[in-house]
Amino acid sequence: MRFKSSIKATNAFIKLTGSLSLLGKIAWMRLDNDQVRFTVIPEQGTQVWAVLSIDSIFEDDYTIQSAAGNNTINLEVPLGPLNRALKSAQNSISASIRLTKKDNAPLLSLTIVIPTPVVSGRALSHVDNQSQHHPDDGIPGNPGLRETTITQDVAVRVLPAAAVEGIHEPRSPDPEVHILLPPLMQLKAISERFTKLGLAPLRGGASTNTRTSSFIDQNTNQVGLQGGSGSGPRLEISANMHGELRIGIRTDALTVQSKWSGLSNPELDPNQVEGGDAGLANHPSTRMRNLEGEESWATVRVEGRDWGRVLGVGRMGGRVVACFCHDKALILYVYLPSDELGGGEDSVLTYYIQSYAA
Amino acid sequence: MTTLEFTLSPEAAIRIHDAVSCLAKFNENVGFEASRDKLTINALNSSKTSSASFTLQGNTFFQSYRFASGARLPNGAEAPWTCSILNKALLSIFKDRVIVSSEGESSVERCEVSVQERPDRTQCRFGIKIFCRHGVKKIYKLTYEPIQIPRPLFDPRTCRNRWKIAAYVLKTFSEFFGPRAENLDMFHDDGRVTFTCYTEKIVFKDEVLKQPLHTAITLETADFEEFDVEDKVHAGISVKDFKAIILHAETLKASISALYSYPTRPMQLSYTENGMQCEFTLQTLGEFRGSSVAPASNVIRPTLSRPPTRQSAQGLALQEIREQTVNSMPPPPQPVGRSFSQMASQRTTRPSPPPPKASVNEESLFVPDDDEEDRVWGARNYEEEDEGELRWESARSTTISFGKLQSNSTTTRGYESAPQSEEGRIAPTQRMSQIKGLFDD
Repeated sequence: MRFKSSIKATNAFIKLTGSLSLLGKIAWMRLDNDQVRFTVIPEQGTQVWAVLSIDSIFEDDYTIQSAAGNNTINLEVPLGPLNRALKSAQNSISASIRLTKKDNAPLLSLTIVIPTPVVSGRALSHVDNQSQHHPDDGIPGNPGLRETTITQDVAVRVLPAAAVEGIHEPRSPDPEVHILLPPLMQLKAISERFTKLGLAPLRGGASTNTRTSSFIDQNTNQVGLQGGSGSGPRLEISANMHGELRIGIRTDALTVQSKWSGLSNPELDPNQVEGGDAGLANHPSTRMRNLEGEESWATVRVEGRDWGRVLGVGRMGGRVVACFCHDKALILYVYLPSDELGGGEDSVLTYYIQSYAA
Repeated sequence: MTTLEFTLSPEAAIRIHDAVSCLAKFNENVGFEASRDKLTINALNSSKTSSASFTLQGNTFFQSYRFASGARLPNGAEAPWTCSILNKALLSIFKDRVIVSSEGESSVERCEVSVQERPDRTQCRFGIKIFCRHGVKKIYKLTYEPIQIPRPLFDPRTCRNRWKIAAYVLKTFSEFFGPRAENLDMFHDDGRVTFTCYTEKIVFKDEVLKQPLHTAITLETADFEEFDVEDKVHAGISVKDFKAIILHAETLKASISALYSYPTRPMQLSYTENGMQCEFTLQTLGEFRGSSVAPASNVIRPTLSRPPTRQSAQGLALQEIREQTVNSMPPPPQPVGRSFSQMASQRTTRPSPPPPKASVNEESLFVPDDDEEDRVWGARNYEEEDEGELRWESARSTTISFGKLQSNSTTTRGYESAPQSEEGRIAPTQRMSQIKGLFDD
C-alpha cells in the first residue's frame, strides 16, 4: 500500500480541511487512481461528502498503489492535526505528503521545505558586524538561500475495504426547490446574528427586574439550550423557485427574518434527471415554479450553530446551490472554483443537513 | 528598616509587563529579590523543573533605583530583601492597555515603586504609583509575603554544548508545533540540528487519531549565530516552557543562548537586553528514543566533586538563600480576611496550588488568532462573545466590589473591561473602614 505526492494547491487543501474540521474531528479519506474523497459523518449534525479530482490538489507525481480495486486506499484521518500540518506548508518552497509507517503505526507524513526564517532589523546588523567572518552572510536581507525542512507526522488509521463498504451517501427525495445561495459571508453573519438572538435569553439572568427574569425563565425552558448541538436555537430557512430565500428565527420573545430576492434558480439538466425531458416536466421543482404565495415555499429547520459551521465552507469560494426537500432536508452542493484548485470542474462538496420537525 | 524605591520609564513598565506575563507561565507568584545594585524577579514552576528569572540592573534598567537593607549578612554585607507577590495583581497593574493606549502611544509618564518595611509598622505594602497623562495618578498598594527564594544550581562550566540563535527564528518554528505537543527535543548530527516536537504517551488503539502532531524541523548549524555542540547529544525540554521563553525573547528581538551538558542535567537559556538579564534554567528530559552518546570524557566537570545531585532527575537542584539575618523584619501581620495572599489561599482550598494561569490564552498565542480566515469562516463561539450585546446593567444593583476600590485612580477602565472572573479580581488590601474619604481628616 503506497501513496505519495507533492501537494499542488496547498491553500485549497488547508481551506478544505479547515471547513471539514468544523463539522467533525475525523474524516474518511478515500484515495484511488482518479479521485480523493473526504467524508465526515458526525454523530449529530451535518454530513459532508467531498469529491475532488486528483489533479485539483496533487501534482503529477501522485502515485498510489493498493491491492484493492482501482488502487483504493481508505484512511481515517484526524482533520485538526492534518489542517495544522498543512498550514505549516502555507509559504513553503515545496510540500509533499506520503503514507508511511513509524513503529508500525501508519502516518501521513508531510515534508515541507521553507526558506530559513530571516531576522530583519536589529539582529541583522549583528550579522553584518560579523560579515568579515562569514562572507556568505554579508548581504543584509539575503543571507543566502538556505532551506529548512519540516516534517509533520499525522497519525492515521488504515481502514479495510470491508469497513467502508456499507457507508453510502444519504438518499433524499427530489428537491422541491433549488437555488443559488447569496454570498456565504453575508449569509453566515446574518445566520449567526439570529442564532445569537435565540441564545440570548440564557444570559439575562443577572437582571434584578423580577418581571423580566420570570419572562426569561420561561424562555430558557422553551429554548432549552443546555444539551448538545442538536438542541440549540433553530433557524427556519425557506426558498422558492422565484429566486427568493428567507432565513429567520422564532422564539417566544421575537420573530425575525431576512429575505433575499433576485437569486437564480439554476435550470436542471435533463440528462441528469431520471426520465429525461418527461422526468423534468414532472419534477417537483417544475410544479413549484408554477405555484405562487406561501405554498411556493419549501422550508427546512436547521440547528443554528451547526448551520453556522456548515457555512464555514464559504472560505473555499465556490458557488453553492441549495436544494430544499420540504420539511425533510437541505442539501448544499459546493462547486469549487477551478482557479483556486489546480483544475478539474468535477470537484464538489455535498452537505446533507436534516430538517427538524416544526 | 528596609527601603526599596525605583522609578520606571514607560518603556521599562512595558518590559516589566512582558516579564511578568512570561513569569505567569511558570508560577502564580512572582518572587522579588532586591539588592544594592539590582532587582531580580523570578518564578519557579510547581514541579520545580523550570525556573525563570529576570535581573534588572539598577543603573541601566531603572530611571532611579535605591535600596537600603535593614539587615546585614554575617560577613557585613547588606542582606538582599526578598518577597513574593501574586502575579495576577502585578499583571493587572502593568496591563498592556493600561500602559499603552489604543493609539499605540504610552499613556503612562512615569511609574514609581516604593517599599518601606519597618518593624514598627503594622502595615507594610508594596506601593506602585503610575503617573499618567492628563494628571491621572493611579496608586496601588499590594500586600507581599516575605519568602526565601530558591535558586537553581547551574554551573556553566560543566556545559560543553552551547548555541545561540535569533528568537525570531525559533518563534517561527514554534508556530509549526501542534497545539498539544508536550516535549521538545534538540538533536545535533553531522552539521544538522533537528528540533522535534512530540508527545510521549501510551496511546490506546482507539485513540490513535487523537495523537497530537509530531513535528520535526531540521536546519543547518550555519543558521545559528553561534554553534558548538557535541554530535549526537539530545536535549529535551517542555514545549510550554520553550514557547513562553521564545515569546518573551521575541518581544525583545533578542537572540537566545543555550548552555547544556547532557540529558537529565539542567539547561540554561539566556539573553540580555536593555539592562534586563533573562535566564531560564530548565531540567532536561531523559533519553529521547535513541540514546545520546556518553558525555565526552575530556570535558572538565569541576562540580563533580560535589555530591552527585540525584534529585536533578526529578527537579532542579535548588539552593535556598539562607543568609537571612536575625535582624530580619517579621512578616507583616496579616489579619484574616484582610490580606491579599490570605484571601487567595482561602479561595483555593486545594492542597497544591493550581498550575499558573497564563494571562493570555495559552493556545491562542501560537495558533495565531489573527488568522483572519479562520476567524471569519470558523465556528463562532457564542458562549464567549460579549461585544455589542444589549444587557441589563446589573452592576449597580449588586454590592460595591472591593476590588474596584483598589485603584484610587479617576478611571477604573482597566478593571471594568477586563474579562476577569470573580476569582480573578484583586482582593482588598484594606478594610472599608480604613479607607479615608476625600474630606475625612
